[in-house]
Amino acid sequence: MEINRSRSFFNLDFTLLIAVMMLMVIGVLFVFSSSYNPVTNAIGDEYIKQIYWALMGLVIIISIGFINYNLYYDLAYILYLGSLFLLVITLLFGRVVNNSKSWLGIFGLGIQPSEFAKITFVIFLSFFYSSRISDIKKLTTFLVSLVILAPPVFLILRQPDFGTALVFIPIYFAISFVSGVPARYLIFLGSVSLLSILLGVIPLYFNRIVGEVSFLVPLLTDPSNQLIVIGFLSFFIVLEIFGIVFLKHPLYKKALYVTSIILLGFVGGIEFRAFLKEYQIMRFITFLNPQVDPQGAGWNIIQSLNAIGSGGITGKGYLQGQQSQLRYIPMQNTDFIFSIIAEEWGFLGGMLVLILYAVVIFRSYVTFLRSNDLFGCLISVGIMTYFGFHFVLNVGMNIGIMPITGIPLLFISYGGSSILAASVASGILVNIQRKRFMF
Amino acid sequence: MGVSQVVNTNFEQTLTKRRIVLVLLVFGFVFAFFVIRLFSLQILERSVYESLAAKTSQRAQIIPARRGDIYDRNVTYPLVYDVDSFSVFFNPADVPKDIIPKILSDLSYFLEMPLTRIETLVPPSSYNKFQNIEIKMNVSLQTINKLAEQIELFPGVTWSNKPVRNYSDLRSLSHVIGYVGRITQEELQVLYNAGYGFGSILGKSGIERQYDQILRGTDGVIHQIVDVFGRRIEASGTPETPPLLGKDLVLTIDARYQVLAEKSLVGRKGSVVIMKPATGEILAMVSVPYYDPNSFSISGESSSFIEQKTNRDSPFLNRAIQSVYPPASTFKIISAAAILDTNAIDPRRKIVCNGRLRVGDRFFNCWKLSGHGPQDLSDALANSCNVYFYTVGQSYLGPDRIYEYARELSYGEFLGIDIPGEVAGNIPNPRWKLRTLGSPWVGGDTVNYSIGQGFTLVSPLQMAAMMSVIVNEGKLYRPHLLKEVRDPVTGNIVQKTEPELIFESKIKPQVFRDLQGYLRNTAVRGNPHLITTKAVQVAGKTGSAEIGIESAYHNWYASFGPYDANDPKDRIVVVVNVEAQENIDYWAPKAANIIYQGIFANQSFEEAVRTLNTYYTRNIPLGN
Repeated sequence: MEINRSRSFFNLDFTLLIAVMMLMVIGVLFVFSSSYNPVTNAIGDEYIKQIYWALMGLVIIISIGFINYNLYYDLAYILYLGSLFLLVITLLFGRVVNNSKSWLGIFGLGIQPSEFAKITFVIFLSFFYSSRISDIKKLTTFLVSLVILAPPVFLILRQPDFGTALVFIPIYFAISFVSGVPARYLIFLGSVSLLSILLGVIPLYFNRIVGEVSFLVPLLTDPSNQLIVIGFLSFFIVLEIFGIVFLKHPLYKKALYVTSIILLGFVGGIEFRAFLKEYQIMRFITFLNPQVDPQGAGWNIIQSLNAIGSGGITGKGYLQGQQSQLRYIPMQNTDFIFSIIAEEWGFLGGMLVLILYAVVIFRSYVTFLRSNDLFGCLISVGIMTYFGFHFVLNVGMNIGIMPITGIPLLFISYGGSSILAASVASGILVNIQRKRFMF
Repeated sequence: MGVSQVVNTNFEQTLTKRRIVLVLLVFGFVFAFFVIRLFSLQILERSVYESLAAKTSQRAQIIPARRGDIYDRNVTYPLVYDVDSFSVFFNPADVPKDIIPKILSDLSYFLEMPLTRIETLVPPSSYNKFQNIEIKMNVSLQTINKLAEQIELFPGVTWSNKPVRNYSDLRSLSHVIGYVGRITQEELQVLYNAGYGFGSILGKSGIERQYDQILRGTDGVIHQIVDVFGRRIEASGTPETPPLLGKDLVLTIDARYQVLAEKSLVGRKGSVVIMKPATGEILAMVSVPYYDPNSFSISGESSSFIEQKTNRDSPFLNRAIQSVYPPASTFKIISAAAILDTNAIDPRRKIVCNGRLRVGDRFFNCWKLSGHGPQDLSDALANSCNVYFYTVGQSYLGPDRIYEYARELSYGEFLGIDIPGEVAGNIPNPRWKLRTLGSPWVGGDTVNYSIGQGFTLVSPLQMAAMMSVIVNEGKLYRPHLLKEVRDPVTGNIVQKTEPELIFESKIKPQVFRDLQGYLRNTAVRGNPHLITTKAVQVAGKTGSAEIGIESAYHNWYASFGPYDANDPKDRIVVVVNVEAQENIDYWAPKAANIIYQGIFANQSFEEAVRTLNTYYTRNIPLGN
């Protein structure tokens, strides 16, 4: 393995670097496009900041590429607790932007600690699993991992920034899954979460999107019905525990597993509705039929689809996108920047972004394969999921098949924190690949 | 277990690798799905989204058509015309809902109008409407300039130069011409398919309403690409539809006659109708009091409108066609026609008037309590002797025949004049009374009927029509106000109203010729002698009645002239009705006298008054 030192002094993953740099260039181009005003020919200064951040990002990638990632193994606690501390500080002293308190001013610069918390979370969870790999199948390991997941998610939900909090969930699942946590634990957790969300949105889905009366709505929302369902399910659980203890038939364990998922999912659904306001849930499910609120929650999706669809194969040309240049698309330099790319550069432009992201994700996989230790493997998986999930949720929202969550398209969307955090993650990947030659 | 135990000390390589392939597969599936979705959006359904995108950014802006002018019959006098004026609009759907209230309150300050009024124009229910709502008309250029300087504070606010109606000083035409106003929700529901839209201006009454479709023209449309704030980016390639000018109307009204008629009432409540029997043209139509359409058309404020609307004297009421009164002694013409046509009694046979007539246990008085003595038809008409007509009505004609002859002289029907609001009045008969009031017709009813009192009600226009039937020897042409429609650019006549025969009486023509003579005799011999003009031979009949229990009177004069016209087509009918409170001064024939003098001596009102120089004209205050 320690051959090939001479191949390159830096041993950098140039494929990844080039893909990331191209994404950043696209980002700068389209932040420019979205800040360009065709009426007055005025140009906003966002694209200049974006250039600074992209350059800073490149410096960060290279620099972190030279920092031995094993250092993070030793610093895992400090990084994790430090980011939690910053999140608490943000909640206390943060700046409110777009209705959420997610910004922290440091030395006159605003940063979003939640963006960096994703990386420290990847590091700490990877550290946790690789340090307890012999106990990986134990329930206590699983429970402790949940304790690691909960604080950042909770703190970010309090801002409230639903989209960013959501990113932690797939990262958690991917790292846990790959590190060998028993599938039944993860399926249990995943099922309960999905069922909670599903049952949480069903009443509004029927009332506002479908507009039909369904027996499910009173079953889920009426307090006395809720008590009946909970009582019913609890009664079954008691029966099943009785069966496990006294009859010892394996079927009872399976039944208990399923019944518990349903009970927890049902309670989770009630909590979901209690925790989120109606407009937040509506924002979350309007993509299923944007026409129910064309002036409100559906507006973004409708305008984004109009822009993308009218782009055609080759697009309307750079700076020529009608929907974007006429400002029909809101948040067009952040959340909906993909729709401008697809409008102005068409299907080919959209495919270019897709392919570049595929390259970035595949290089993360290559990094995983080439990694020498479990810690590096798990970090690669975490970062891969971080990149991948941001991409899927953002582009999915732009093309109208995912809920509006307002998370940025990494490397492309306007904003320092997301570019710099993504650059830090890229740098770590670069170092993990570089390290394999240094045994 | 043994083997995996060993591997576990490092980490479970195979399991981990299997699992990450699964994670990768998930991403792979999602990528594939995204590619398919992008392909279908951008390549398969491209045209759908292209048209949607175009629709979103294209806004049709209405260019209001200039409304047609209205002229009097000589086309020298523009009675109504459009003047330029700026209107400020607001398009609620152009701006996020939550900032609309702020914009509205800023507008309220800027346009100096109460916020509550703006809020009624732009209710929250309209926040989703892609429609320019007119906030204020007649905004000064100064205000528009100020608005333009700070337009970034007013997203969704636009303005246009929108012509506003200006009505001439001939106020007494307000009922005939009517006024225009913003379309109401109810009107829009009815007229939606007729080319009207939210915020359209349409005629609300009179000619403006009746001929709205001709006057309004067709609004033009210009398609513009606008950004999300409704700001115009560029005029697109879509060909714009230019506005089509509304056509000009020429009325049958003669401004000179109208002025004479208006002034002849000298401020009294009442109405005048001057009509040309040969064609049905209305030469003048006055109803006093009248309103000032400019006071709410130009300012766009409704306070003046409400003030006039709630006035006790009902200035919005067109008394000439919308008020009905007992015809009183003018109804004796009907009985006279019946006598002449049926010979129920020899018109030369004298009936003695003792001042009253006993019917059952009731006495019916003549207006001259000392009695007129022996009277034939000619005397009775000239003296307006009630007892003669009581007797004839009761003993020779009977209610059914009076009814029949009232109908044969066109009473009791809508005439279909070309302005809205006409009423039909009432000509009773025994069957009508039984059906409507549930009580039988009694002798007293016939007595009242024969002198035009009781249940009989006619409008001044109907009385003019009745006189026209007499002048035309049985023919009635539809009374109308529209003479011609003219092209606003070339001035060519594009449509002309031809006389429309709407009624032909069964009464023998000779009867009408005789009646004309009787009426001329009445005007000449009438007592007191009020028709003093030497300019024309007037024929006519007076009438006066007390209305209801209040001491309110009204006074008629139904007439035509010249009696001796070479060509009967030159004759005109003049009907005057004066409402009086407390003291009746029998002004109707006096007003008619001034009108005839003015028309036929070609004099102004002042000149006519000076020329007549009779006892009642000397007190008329003349301007200079």
